[in-house]
Amino acid sequence: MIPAVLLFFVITTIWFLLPFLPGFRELRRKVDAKPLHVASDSDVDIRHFERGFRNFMETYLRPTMTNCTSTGLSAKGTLEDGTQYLVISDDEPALLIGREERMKTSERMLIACNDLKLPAERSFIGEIYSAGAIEGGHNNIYRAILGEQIVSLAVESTVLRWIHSHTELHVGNSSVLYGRASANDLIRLSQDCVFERMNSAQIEFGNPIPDWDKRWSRPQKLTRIKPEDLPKCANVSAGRALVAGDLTIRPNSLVDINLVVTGKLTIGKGSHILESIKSHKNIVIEPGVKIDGGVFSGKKIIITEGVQIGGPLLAEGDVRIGSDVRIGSREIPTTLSVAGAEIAEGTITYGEVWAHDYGRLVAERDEADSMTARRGSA
Amino acid sequence: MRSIHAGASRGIEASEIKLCLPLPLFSLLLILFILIGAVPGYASSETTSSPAAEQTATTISAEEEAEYTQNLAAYRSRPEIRIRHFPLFGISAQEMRSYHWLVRGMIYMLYTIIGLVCIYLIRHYWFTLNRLFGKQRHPYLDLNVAEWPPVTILIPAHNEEEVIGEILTALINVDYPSEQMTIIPINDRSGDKTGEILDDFASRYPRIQPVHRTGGTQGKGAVLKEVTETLETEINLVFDADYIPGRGLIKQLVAPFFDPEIGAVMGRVVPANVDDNLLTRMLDLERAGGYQVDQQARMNMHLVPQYGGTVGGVRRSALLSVGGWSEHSLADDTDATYRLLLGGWKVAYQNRSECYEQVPDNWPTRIRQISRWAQGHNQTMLRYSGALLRSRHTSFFEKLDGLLLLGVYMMSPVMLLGWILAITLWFMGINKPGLIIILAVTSYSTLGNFATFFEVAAAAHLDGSRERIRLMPFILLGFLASLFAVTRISLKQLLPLQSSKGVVWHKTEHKRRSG
Repeated sequence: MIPAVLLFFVITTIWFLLPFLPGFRELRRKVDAKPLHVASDSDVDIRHFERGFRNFMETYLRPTMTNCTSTGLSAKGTLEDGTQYLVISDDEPALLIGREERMKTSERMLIACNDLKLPAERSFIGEIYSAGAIEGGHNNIYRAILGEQIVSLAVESTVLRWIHSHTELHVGNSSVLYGRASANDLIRLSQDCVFERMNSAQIEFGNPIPDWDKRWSRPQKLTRIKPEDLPKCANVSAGRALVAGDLTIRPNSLVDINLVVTGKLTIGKGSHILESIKSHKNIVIEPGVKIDGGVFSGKKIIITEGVQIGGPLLAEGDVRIGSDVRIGSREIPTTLSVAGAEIAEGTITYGEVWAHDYGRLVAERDEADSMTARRGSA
Repeated sequence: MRSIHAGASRGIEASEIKLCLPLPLFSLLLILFILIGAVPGYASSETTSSPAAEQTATTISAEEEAEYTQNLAAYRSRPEIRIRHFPLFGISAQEMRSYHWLVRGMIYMLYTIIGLVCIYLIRHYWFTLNRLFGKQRHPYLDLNVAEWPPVTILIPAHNEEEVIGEILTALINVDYPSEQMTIIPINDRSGDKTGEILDDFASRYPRIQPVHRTGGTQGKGAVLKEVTETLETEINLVFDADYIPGRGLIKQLVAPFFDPEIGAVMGRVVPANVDDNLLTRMLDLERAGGYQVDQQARMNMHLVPQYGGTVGGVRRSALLSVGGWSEHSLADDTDATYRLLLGGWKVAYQNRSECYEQVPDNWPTRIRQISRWAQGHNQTMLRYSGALLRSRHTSFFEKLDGLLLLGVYMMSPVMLLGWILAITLWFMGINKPGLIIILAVTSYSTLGNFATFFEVAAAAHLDGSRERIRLMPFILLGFLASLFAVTRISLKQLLPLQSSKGVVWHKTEHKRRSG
């Protein structure tokens, strides 16, 4: 009887301790005992890859480039990690040779000491660098491009990972920019361009009108809306009015308080909001509205033409922006971050644009305006 | 090198889904199965007495039984009154009436406890499944180009000579416009060289402006209240002295304040001294579950992410509009969270804003820490539960989540009470099979094992951790220690004679981190 009881307890104890055995092993060996890695430098910096590639070039290819510049001859070779490269100097060698030309695909990293002109209808699987300007042929596919001067992509170009220009980036019609696109001074997109993430001092969607200030001059007389005038105002504190339900601000109104609305928010045309606005649902901003602060929406934002927004624009849903809209300014760049974006010609943003699902420049100014107007009325 | 986002950025593969789903399903099905198994006893008991009922009936006299039958018949003869059975599995209404009122109370209480435990069980699983398969919200993560506002960084420090230099050095090097940032370390009556270190830094960096505190009320809330009243900046971030912020952290924590609805922001805390001993490893897993799953799920679902008092910040005007920092609370952070919520403000959780911290490396410190948290949490619960229910600014789900969050520490004594009730009833002869088994399974599934394990495992998966998950069974030890510590402090708090008027602040000791 006693041995049976003992056996029972021994088996039960072993059974109970079994799940702990892997734990004891890990405690002893400490295989996974380091703190979780916390990135000290934020990887949201759009120039992360550009900096990495520049460092790579400085480390491995700068001597070759210097040599090519001084001799005027091109050079090719293979780095220790197996990367093939072609450093192009004044003699302009064939960029694609043999099998590459037949396949119309360059697998080498192309480094140009001067301006670089690329043939059309080719794929460039290696990174491309130019100390001068870059002019791409039409219908090309690029992995990554870094240019010290103006980079011009022809129509129907595709960039797979990233592109950066030290000055300006011009993108031809119907091009697709996957990943990151950045330029220090200006990015100019043409009709039907698709993008994901862009950063520049100025980003032009199509051709902006020259007399924007004149066309969208603001009304002189505005009617000030006090918090107590707001219907369904549930709370006013710390410079913020909280409205429970939908809210429509009448045209030509002046609002000098942060607005938080739990329903749909409509800002009437010509109004001026001195602070920020937020809605848990859709926001519709009618023509000629000026908002000094940011715009935040839990769903969609529809911005009609001629709107000016000073602060960040964040939407958890899509945003549709009509023509001649200004977001941020040269002096105060800002961020536009949305799930999807359709932006009409003539709009300019300053700073950063994120379109997580898709971003598209709508070809026709009138089409975009009518689309936003339709959705606004809906 | 492992990356904290490695797992998060990957899609969940089909095989992993197969591994993840059975655990909560199994747990819920088991409870359902037990409940259904107990139902026939309940369903048939109206017309046919169960053996237990017969056994009880022998103790009732013939006159009493006749009177009871007569009363019952009278009730049934009234068409407008319908006899309803309480949904107590395994015990009929007839049986219930036969019990002494005290026993009936015990049974009701036990089933209430089981119900509460079930609610927490569902909550844990819901959060974890949302984190694994739901849409993730990081609305302010992209905001890295803006006109950055002035910000003040507050660092309460009491005898922190070993760690204070590290955080100040890290803050000097952060990526934020230097003219817009003021660092205020608060030397709260330190007896070591903390004050001298602060003065040395201040002499070298004008933006470091230490405050030396020699008197006043004890506690972090009191310290913050005193200093915040003198500030002019709208955004105030708070760090503990043992934290090391990364270069991009300040911008990430300030970004949500551009949203006019945000009253407070909370980042993620990551233990730095993981490999010290078993306790630090367990706390590493627990923290991962708490932040990577719990907090982020609440953010995803528009519930109540909690401001944790460090690696975060508040909008000064919003906090002042709801009464400022509370110096009479042991959990000033929880207190601030709820007052902001009641004032119509939201707390934003930024899961990618990580910061290292030093977790307790010995049990007495850990027990003191969790006791303080429990005490502060319970204070907040007593203060704001009613107001939260009445609040016009919060949605139904915010109310529900807010109440459950407030009650989380009370579940320890409640569950112990449940066990006592179940065992007592068992020995009293009320031994329906459902009672103890249901409590056992739900308790096990809620706080002790399955749900917590599932949450921690999901967090480890999202963090890309692999081997540390082997330590998961040890969390049971931490759970048991917490159960008794929290129960002790909660009972002490509930007893009127024991409640003190002042706040006794037990500071968590910070040592130089390993490595």
